[in-house]
Amino acid sequence: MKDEDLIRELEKLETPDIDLPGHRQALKAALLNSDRFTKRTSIGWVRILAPVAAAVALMAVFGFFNIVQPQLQVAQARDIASTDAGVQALMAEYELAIAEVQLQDGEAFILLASQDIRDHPDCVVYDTEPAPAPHAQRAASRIVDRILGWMLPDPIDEQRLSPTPEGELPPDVEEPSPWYIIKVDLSTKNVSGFLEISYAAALRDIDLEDALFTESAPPRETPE
Amino acid sequence: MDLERERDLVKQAQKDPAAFAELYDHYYPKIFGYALRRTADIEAAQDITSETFFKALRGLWRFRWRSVSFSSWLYRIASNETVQYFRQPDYRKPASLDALREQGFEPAAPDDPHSELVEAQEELDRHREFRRVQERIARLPAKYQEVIALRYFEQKQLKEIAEILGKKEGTVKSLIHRAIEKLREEE
Repeated sequence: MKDEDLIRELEKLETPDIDLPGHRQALKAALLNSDRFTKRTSIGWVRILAPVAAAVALMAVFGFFNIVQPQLQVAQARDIASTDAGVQALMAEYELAIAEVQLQDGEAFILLASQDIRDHPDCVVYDTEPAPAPHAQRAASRIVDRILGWMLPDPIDEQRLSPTPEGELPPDVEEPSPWYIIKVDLSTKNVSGFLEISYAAALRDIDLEDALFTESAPPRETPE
Repeated sequence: MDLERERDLVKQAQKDPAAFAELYDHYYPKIFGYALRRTADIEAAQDITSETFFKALRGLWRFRWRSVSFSSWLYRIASNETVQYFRQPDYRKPASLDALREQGFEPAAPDDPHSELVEAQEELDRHREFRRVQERIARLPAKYQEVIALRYFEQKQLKEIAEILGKKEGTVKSLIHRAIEKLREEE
């Protein structure tokens, strides 16, 4: 037999066309009563939302521990320092203001600096050098600053001071007042140390670990 | 069924049982007939058809009408199930069988004289010429069985066969050519 003959035979072949009403009805009922129609929508949503929810939860945890919590601790440290009697006395005596806050090992270091020097045009004021912090925190911190700005008691001053490039104070500043670094223990919520510095500096320029802090505010000089 | 209507039904059937029922009513005879003509075994055709529709229902939510039409998608599932049937002598799908039994249906009841199965078997036996040819086709590799059944029993065009099998039309054409040669050799 040739191929053409076989093809002709196949084309003319009478094939069975059988209906099984019982099977057809039972299968239809089984399909329509299956839980696919009742559960499909919720399962579909769970499948879509589960990874999204997991990602959001991870971002929330990451954001809290790396961005929100440090900002809250900074705000808390500022609050503790500004309500401490010793710190208040120093700020009033020398017209100091909180210039910078740095978190380190459960403690906060607060730089009290003179407003006169901070405002002096010869002082190198910079805000481009980021404080030591995780990379991701630096990237997101400005956005979070904006988001949390309304809830922080006092906006964080991004501008910091440094000495002039020669390391000297501006020439027309007479009798520079001392600056202070205040150490705040965040676990006990108390001011735990004072350090006087006699030159303009930023916190990152000072070795805070080896610095000798005193437990109480240094005695104020009484006018003769 | 009009293509636009079918497209709408497929979309609705993902949520609406009535839409799925309409698709089922339209395609049950085609899929059961295809499975029967592939296997020449009524019980196997029942199992293949049941499993095809259960798989279609389970996979309907991710079906997107792109390169493959719903009709071709159903035939593709049925084709794959048929291949499973030929590979596994004890081809039985507990999931679909249990679901049918819950509806009070016992698929295999050959000893029941009133069973529709007996009547169907008698009808099948009357097609002696078909059974003779089908026995020869069943000895061919699955890829040749598929193309012969789709082309000559289901009267599908090359384009549609290509869509069902996920192959190019040229490939399907040469497959049919070789299948005919192999079938002739089986004589």
